[in-house]
Parts: sequence; structure tokens; C-alpha cells
Amino acid sequence: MILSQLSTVEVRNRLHCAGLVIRTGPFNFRIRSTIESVAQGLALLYPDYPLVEDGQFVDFTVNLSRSSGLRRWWHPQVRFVYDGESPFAVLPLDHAFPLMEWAMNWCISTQAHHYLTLHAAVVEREGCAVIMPAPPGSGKSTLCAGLVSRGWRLLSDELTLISLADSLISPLGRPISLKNQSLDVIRNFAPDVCLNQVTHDTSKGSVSHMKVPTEHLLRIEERATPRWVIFPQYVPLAKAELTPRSKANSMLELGRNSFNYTVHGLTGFELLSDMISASDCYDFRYSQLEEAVSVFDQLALKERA
Amino acid sequence: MNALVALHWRDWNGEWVAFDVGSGQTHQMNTLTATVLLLLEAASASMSELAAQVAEVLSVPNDLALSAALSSILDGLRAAGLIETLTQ
Repeated sequence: MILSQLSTVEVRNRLHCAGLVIRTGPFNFRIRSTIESVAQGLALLYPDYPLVEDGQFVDFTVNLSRSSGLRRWWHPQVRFVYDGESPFAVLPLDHAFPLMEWAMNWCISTQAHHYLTLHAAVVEREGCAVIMPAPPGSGKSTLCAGLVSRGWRLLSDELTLISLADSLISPLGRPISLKNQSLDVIRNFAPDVCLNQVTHDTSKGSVSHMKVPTEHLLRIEERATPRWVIFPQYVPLAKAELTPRSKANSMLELGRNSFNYTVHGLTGFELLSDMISASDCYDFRYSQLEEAVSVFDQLALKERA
Repeated sequence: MNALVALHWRDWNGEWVAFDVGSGQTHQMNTLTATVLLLLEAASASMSELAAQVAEVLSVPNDLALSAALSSILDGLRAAGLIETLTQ
């Protein structure tokens, strides 16, 4: 059963009471909230996600509650509660949906240590994955959204999950986070994509999330082999260009961009260095999405040949 | 070598990384630095012995330039806690 098969009343009943339990990639999340924008965001962006049957293991429970106190009457706020703790500061109530997304990322990045987890977008074609680590503002999510709207399969726009057992990457398949100018860039580049309402004045600026294409969710169990490590950077007026990059330095950068490389010790080192050995490493500068996608398509074509 | 250091190595055409199980740190280095560390990992050596071994392994002249480079490399490795200076 998937979320869209529930009535709007039932979605809210579950969210308000025992929780709505959905599966996103390898994780089961229980979401609890009485905040309407959370229910609306889930209905818009998560309609095709499987619901988890009662009695099945739930990895993480995300509670998003209205904060109490007098302030709630003139500045209503939302609080993320996990295991009785509030890991984040309270935020304005209209930040509830992006807060849910950030909270879900936090749960995975701080606790899912049965994967080596990188802070990187990852997309796939022909079974081969492109890992794209980059700091905020580098155009990583914009590029990821552009590629996904042109035939590359989304594995994740934020968290690359690498199996400790066989180095394959598991799709997470969650909505793509976009912010500020990238919202208009993607609206112009791919007018058919579905975006949630924009939340303004967050710590990241104006943010929204892009729905994952249904066909990508149907392949959510299909893992991919790391093939390229590409460090993207948006540079105004730059021609889209890949430049070969030091493998040793790429490995260290991936380690720095990992949430738990140091947790895994020697296992993490061997996993990451094997992955780098099997991957081509590049820096990538771009300014136009159309050109950028074309460069990536050429990579995939070469791989097929 | 620092007795607490246990290194695992990878190299990609002259680009080296070494993971120290003792500290959990990963170090990136060039071939000259990696050669020095690999030699010291195998056996302690005086500066002159080390220079002679490096010159032989890398087929480079054992001259003042090499000594200066080794001195700088050893300072860096010492600062990173990978090697120790033995006192007589």
C-alpha cells in the first residue's frame, strides 16, 4: 500500500496519533505531527512511497510538534523531537516541512552506521553511479535536479549510502532540496517538475523540495555501482567542463564529506579507497544546466560503449 | 616509527594515502614522503642511512638537495606523530 491510497482524513489521523510510517529507501520513518503543512507536503511529495505495516521495525520516529508557551499565540513555532530530545532549535511554524526533511537527514547521518554515509548527491545511469560531493552553494542539488529531470535516476541529493559489505550504493529516493535562485533555474529547465510550496527566510534562504519521479521510486531496491566521483561547482559563465582530479585528494575529500568515515576506521578506509580505485575522479565547472547534463550524458555513453 | 602507528597504504600512480589505525587519521603524501615512511616502517635508520636508501630506491642522487628535502619531510612526519627521533 502507498501513501496516496490513504484518504486525506486517514493521513491526518495517522500523523496526529500513532504516526504515519513510510519507507524511504532502506529506512522506515514514523512521522508524527499535527501541523497541516507537514500533511500537505507529504501528500504532494510522498504519494508513491510505501506505507509500512503495523508491527514492522521502524528505524526512526520524527516528531514535529508545535512549541508550547505564550509565544505560540503570536509567533507559532515548530520543534523536532527525537527520543525525547530536541536536537535542533525551534523554528517558525511555516518551516515545519523543510524541518521534517532536515530531521530525516539528521536521523540517517547520525545513526545509520551500517552504511558509510557521504554528504553527497548521487545519481545513476546504466547501473553506474556518479557521486557528487560539494559544499553548500556549489550547485550540487541544482545539478542533481537537472540530471534527474533528464533521465538520470535519483539515488539521493544529500546522502550517499555505501554498503559496508559490497560497496554498492543504496537509493534513498527522497525529495530534492532546492533553494533560492536554483528554484527558478529548475522551474525554467524542467517546467513539469513538482515542487512543494516555497518556505522563505530559513537558515538556507528560500527553500522547497522537488518530487522524485514515480519511476525512480519503482526501482528503489535497485542499487548502483560507484563509477565516477565528480566535484561540481557552479561558476557564472563557465563552459561545462570536466577536469581529471587527484585520486588521493578525492579520497581525502570524500572522507571529509563523510558523516561516519572515522567511525568505521580501517573498514572505512578500505571501502573508500577501493571505491576511488574503481572510479574516475573529476572536478566539474558549469554555468548552464543544459550543457552540464550533456557532459554527463557523454560520460554515460562512453561507459555503455 | 612511532610505536602506536600502524599504517595501511594505497597508491594511485604516485599519489599515496596512508591510514593510521592508531589515530584513525588518513594522510596524503607524494612518492618521496611515502618512500621515507615505508623505509622507516621497515626499519629505523639514521639520517645518512635513510638518505642512502631513498637515493637507491628512487634512483636519485644522494646529495645536499635530497638531505634538505628529507629533513623537511622528517619534520612533517614527526609533527604528524608518525615518527619519533630515537635518542642514543
